[in-house]
Amino acid sequence: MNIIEILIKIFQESGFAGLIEEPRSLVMILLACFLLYLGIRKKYEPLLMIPIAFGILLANLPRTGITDGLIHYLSLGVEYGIYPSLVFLGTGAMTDFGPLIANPSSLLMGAGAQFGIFTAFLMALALGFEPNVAAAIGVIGGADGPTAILTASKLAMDYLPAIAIAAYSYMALIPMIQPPLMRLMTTKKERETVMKQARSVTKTERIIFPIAVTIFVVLLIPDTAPLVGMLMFGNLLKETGLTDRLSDTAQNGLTNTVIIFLGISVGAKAAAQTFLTLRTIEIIILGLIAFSFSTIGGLMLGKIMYRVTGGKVNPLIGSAGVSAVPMAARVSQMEGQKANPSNYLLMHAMGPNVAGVIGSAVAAGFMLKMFGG
Amino acid sequence: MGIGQALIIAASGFLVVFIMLVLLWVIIGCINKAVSGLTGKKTEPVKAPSPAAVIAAAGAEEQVFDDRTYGGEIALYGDMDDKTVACIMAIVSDETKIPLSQLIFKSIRELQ
Repeated sequence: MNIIEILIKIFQESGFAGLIEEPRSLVMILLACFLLYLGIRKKYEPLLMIPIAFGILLANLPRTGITDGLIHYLSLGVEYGIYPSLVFLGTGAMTDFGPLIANPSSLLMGAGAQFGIFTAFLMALALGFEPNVAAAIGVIGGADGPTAILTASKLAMDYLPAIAIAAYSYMALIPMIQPPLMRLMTTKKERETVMKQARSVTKTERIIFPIAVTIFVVLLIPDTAPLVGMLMFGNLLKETGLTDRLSDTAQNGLTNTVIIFLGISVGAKAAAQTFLTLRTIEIIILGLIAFSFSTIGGLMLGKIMYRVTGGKVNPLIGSAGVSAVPMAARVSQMEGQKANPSNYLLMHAMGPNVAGVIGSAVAAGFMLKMFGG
Repeated sequence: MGIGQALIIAASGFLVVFIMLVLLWVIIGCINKAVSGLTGKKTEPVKAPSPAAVIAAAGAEEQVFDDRTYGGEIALYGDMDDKTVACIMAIVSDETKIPLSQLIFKSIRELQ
């Protein structure tokens, strides 16, 4: 064997030769680089976009065998729905349900903002998706990444990367997607509405809330247990004031670790053969429709509450019902201040915002019950 | 799946979400009543959050929404607008790692 033969052998066994055999991998590598650009340069949900994009990159570099080893084992956490539930544990530990407890009527706006889930579900069916896949696509409208991933992992594993990327991309684009709809759906007078401060919430209420919600919601829809149960467990750790170490771990170390595993596993599922299809483009478009209709649903409920309360509720807080904590609430705050500089809607918008988290978990539980087999 | 069945499932799902959250509303109301009854106190409206609390909350990357409101009066010496005062309060809170709800500002004086 001479030097030339050795070099040829090295090249033939290299990833470059693999790219020639499977040129679609090159497209996926370019896509991964584009998503990394969005995450790093444009700061689109970088905490998840970067791990997902890097997962796509690793999985599509030919001949590495990584998807049979490390990635395979990391992916078990996605397949069994472990990571999204653990992310919810951290989310619960980071969330203050006080604004919701103080103003429970905001639950209605959280419910209205799930409208997009069911609209997108119907549209996906009309496009010929299987009912279980349509259900998973619809959940993108909940604007809740872990919920969308959990539902997709149970109902539509092949479409998981497209659904996850759509969900996180649109969550990052909320400041661009929502404001035009908010201005379209509301009058200037409605946007100028200044809301009264809600009542204070006692520590006892804060402690009882997660326990009561867990018992009630999980008893009614047991499929919500992994999400609602973990969300409320995390919140209880925070509110008792006796488990600060556990709460701190849930908020920081655990969540960060799980996000790394979750992101890279989801990204690695995006193989060229399954990802580069027309279906992926359809899912991305349906995701945008789901998001938009959820925003409209929340705003509609906001407008109804504005009328019912005689102008005491600013309908802009309705759009925060799409979950995406706290970005959606910030958008309500910004739009409210644009209409009336003395308007501080942030805390009011947090009510529908966290209600949306519960609402999307319930909607996902419903879809899992209907199509989970 | 037929269009009729799909519509029924979508409508049922939306209805289930609504019913669930309305029932949660009722439960929260019951918790409030029970707690008020046990403690014998009625919960009062809280003071408006200061601009500092709002700015602090709106500006954080991954925000934990907590009792980051500030109540009380501050004596201001100098030509300062609300936004400047709010910024000073937010910076002091951030630097000292003390939540706004646990900080008391007595006065802010402008140095020339």
